[in-house]
Amino acid sequence: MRRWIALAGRLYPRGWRERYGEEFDALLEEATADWRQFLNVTGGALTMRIANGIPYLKVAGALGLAGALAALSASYRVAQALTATAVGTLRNAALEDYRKADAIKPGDPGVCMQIGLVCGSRSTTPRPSPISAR
Amino acid sequence: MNCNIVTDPQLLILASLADGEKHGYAMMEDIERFAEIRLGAGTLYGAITRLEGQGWIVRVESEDRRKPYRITGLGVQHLEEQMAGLNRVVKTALRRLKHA
Repeated sequence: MRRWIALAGRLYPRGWRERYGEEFDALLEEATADWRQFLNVTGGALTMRIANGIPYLKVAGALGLAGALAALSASYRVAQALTATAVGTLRNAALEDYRKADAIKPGDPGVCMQIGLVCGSRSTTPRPSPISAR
Repeated sequence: MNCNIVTDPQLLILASLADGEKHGYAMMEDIERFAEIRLGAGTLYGAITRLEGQGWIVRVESEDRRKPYRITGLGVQHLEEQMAGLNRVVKTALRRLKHA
């Protein structure tokens, strides 16, 4: 945690760090190192940057980028839970056309790809095939 | 019992420096002792930056990485004004509590 707090201390504006950086780093080495301290130092750096006239668009852009990265990371963790699934029904005539073309076989999960459905969840959650032999 | 009547970091720092120069960590410890408030490092140095900008404290040159600060005459005057105002509020509240 102390390392993260030290990194947050680097977020202060360059001019401020030239004046206070050395003593501030010395303080961070002595002060309690917990998540509250991390948030306090991060908030202090952001406040100081805004007070020093950093363009708001830069701050908004940086926060937006951080949010996008966090969302991307989260999306990989919950991908399976949020996978949309669909079951299509083919009329017999259309199914017969596919069979004649030897494109699909009953129970073949590849049928989903053939007709443009997403099959992601089928690999982890087997379900009855939407195509059945008649 | 926690005393939250004064929570302004700038006033707490001025009060801490009123009895002599201190560096950041010493201020942090002192404020926790007399006000029971733990200032974060970001809050402390944000307030130090503003206080120095207003001329209420000055940095004392030191070979140590930890730089001590000293309250100025202007700082003492500001602290006295603020404490006088606070004293009026406290006295009024105590007087009224006697009749409550």
